[in-house]
Amino acid sequence: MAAIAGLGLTEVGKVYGRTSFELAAEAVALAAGDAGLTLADVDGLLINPAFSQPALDLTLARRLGLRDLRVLSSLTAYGASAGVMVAQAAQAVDAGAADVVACVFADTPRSGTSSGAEAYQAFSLQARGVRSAETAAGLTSTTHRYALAADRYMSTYGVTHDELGAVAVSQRRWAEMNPVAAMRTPLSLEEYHASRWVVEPLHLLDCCLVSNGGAAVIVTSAERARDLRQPPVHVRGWGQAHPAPPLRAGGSFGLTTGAKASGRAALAMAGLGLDDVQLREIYDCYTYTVLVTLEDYGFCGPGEAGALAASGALGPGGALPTNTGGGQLSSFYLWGMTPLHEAVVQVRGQAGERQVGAHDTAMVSGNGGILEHHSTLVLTSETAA
Amino acid sequence: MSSVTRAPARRDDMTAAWFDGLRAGRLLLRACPEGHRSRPDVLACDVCGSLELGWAEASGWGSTVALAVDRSTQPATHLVVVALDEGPWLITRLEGEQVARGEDVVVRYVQDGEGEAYPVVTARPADGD
Ligand SMILES: [Zn+2]
Repeated sequence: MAAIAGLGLTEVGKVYGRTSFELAAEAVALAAGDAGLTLADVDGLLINPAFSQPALDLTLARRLGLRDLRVLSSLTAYGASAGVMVAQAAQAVDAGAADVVACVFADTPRSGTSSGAEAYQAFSLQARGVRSAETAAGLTSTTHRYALAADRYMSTYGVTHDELGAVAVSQRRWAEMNPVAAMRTPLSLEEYHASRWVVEPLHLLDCCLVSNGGAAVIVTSAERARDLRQPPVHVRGWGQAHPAPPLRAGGSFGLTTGAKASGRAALAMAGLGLDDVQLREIYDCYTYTVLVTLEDYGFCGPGEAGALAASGALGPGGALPTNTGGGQLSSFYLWGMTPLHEAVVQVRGQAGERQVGAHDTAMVSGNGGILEHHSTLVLTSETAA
Repeated sequence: MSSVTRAPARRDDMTAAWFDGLRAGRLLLRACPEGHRSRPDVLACDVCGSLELGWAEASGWGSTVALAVDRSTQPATHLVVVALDEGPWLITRLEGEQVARGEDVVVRYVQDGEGEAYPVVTARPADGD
């Protein structure tokens, strides 16, 4: 079995004047150093490029001086990429294809003059074909599409804005205790409601941050990880699902996602049940995404996650600690590296003031496209059952 | 409030026939030998998986599944998911009179500047269309 032995995170947020390549290089070096390894020990590299230019590519290896790699690929499953990279790294290690695999993401959508939303919008505006007809009609960003998904979900189950807001408030309470988080001032439900509509039914505070930065993890064998500097975080289960439900009569658009199948697969591989999961680090591009993912994983029934959030269960002191670093909504947005980073910190027991007491088993989700791609990791400590 | 720069609708090789239809005021869908209808960019029938896809004209009638509003544009843009009567769903904007979820709409055709024509929807008149 493979384990995550190193974790690297650059400065994140309003970080200007550095390219994705420089941020990725620093993240990989930090992750290797965190593990007690050097770059010379790295013999595998998996790269997840984002949208802003220059986007990461395979030249990262050469330019970082990684000259004897046995595994090297650039891959994307959009927001599901981090979980996919870790699963592929674990398989490479298990198969003996490589001993020390670095998985890296870096992006620089923000500039001194742009909040970064434009970098993501540009991606929509490049479309041709049917997608370009949708863009011309007014669907100029990913948020427009998620707003339609959230509307279907909310209208089908009667989920309220108080319940969506409870996700934002709960995660801000975690972020208040996270020194890395961009948003650490307390948030009230009233402030949530007062935040402007981005695309109704999504308020500004339903939407993730946009951040510059880089993050990396080092995956190696569990045996080797035990001899390294940090407590091993075992990669005990993983799953992917790409359900791509056709947009047509009877379609599940907005109501359910690939989390259902990928979560089931990851838990089955880990030989664990939902009751064993002590930490939920859920991809939270929008508050709504957290709710639908918790339901798909089975932590509650369809349409019930809003009430769960409103009960306080997801926040500090709650029964189901979720997004314990503040997530993409309040901490930082580095695609799937955000939930993965927090899971590793918590499972190691290194989360300081926000450390969750029972932290042996974490479920980590990734969500890409418009709910089209999903990855799940089950990560466990050395002392997990 | 700022008006959003919207990129024009642009054809690619796969959707040339679809855009030709829109220009002529016809909404085309992919059609398989079994009579199923799929969205214009599929490579295989949504229902039976057939790769033998031609084109067939849709009625242009449907009902709304989901609604969203972009208030950053002037005027506000009302976005809709529309379940076409033939099965496939269309994502576009609603023009004119507002409708509730589940209510009937009909496809219209618009063209901005140099871009291709594209479909939008309006509330369906009470006497049909
Ligand atoms: Zn068919």
